[in-house]
Amino acid sequence: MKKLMQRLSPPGMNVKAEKAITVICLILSALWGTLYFLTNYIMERDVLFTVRGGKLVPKQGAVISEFAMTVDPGMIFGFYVTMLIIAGFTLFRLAYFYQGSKSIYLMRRLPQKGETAKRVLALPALWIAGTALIMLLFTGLMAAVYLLATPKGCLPAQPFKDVWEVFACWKSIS
Amino acid sequence: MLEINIVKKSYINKPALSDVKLSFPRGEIVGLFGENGAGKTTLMKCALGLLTYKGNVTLDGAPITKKNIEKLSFATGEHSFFPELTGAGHRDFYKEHFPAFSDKRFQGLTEFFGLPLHRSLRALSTGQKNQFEVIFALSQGADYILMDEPFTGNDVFNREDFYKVLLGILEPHETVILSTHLIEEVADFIGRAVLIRAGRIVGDVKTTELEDDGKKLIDYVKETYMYQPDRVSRALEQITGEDAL
Repeated sequence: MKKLMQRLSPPGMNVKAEKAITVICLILSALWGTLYFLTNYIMERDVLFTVRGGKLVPKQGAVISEFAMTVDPGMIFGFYVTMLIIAGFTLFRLAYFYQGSKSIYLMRRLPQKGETAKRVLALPALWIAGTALIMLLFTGLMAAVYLLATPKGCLPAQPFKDVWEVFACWKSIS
Repeated sequence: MLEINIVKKSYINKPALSDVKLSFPRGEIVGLFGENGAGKTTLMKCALGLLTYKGNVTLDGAPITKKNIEKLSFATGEHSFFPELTGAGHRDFYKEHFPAFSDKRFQGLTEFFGLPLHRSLRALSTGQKNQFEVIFALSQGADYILMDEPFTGNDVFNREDFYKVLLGILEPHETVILSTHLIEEVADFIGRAVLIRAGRIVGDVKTTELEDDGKKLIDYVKETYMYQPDRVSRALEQITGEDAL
């Protein structure tokens, strides 16, 4: 694994810093997403219940909003920021070939095609793909919580209608 | 044969090379001389395809592409190694990318200069960095080794050693094109001198021809450059208002 990462990075570059930043960003994104989901979900869930005889009981006919309406793209906003930060690594990787020497001359003299592009783009691209996968899994986990923690009778007919709206981060920005 | 055919290069309308035509057969050690800004570095970078230019550069009749670029190596005073990588790391990198890399030559030269293989090059002295830069170029397995001011920062003994080692290790098919200001120092090691001025080739001579004429290389360079020996005294007179010397 270490060798593969070295082969996909500028020679001599310390990938640890990139790894650490990525992991920290992922943890913060997951924490933010969890808090965001819980805050929204608890508010939506509270409306479903009423106190009867000192006990919380579901209101008659009360239905929770669909999953996509409950969480909105704010939940996974952190993952998009993480992806942008990872994309920014490519600039540092390219700049590496001009720092302290002009190693870009050596890279451009290599007989293999696309070696510079490979070492600049490949690993960030893999990490972005990994972040996207984690984002999907995280959303799946939150969807499972939504499904299991909501009383069956309070779920809408199509709880995951327009679920892809959750990922439409650009909509919430605009 | 490395051929540079009518190569032109300009930097924002300022000509850097004008109709340069040169050819370098295998087995030569060529000195490329010229004042600062004459176009030596630009010429080398054009030959290597590191700069865009008009005209064409061919190697054994074929344009320089990824298919034959490994036949050219480059050592530059700007350095082209990876500062954070060790000497051993560079050896592995070169071996991976240049199939003709000579491990034997690399090992011999690093041992001769007592260079550390397991420290990142960033941590080494300027002289040691230059030595590594040149060693990588010599070990790549190229037929044409282009060196652009590779010894800036090395002491004179070190440079002398290098020239001697260079003469000793070069194979008959290898050509070295050495750009330097140290004309007198390399005079005994080169077989041909190419002079460039304001982007034009103004002189191209074999050192044996100079020997036959009983001329020293430095005198040939001064003559070609129309060097005015009295320019220093004239300048001093102008500055101080007194008769200099």
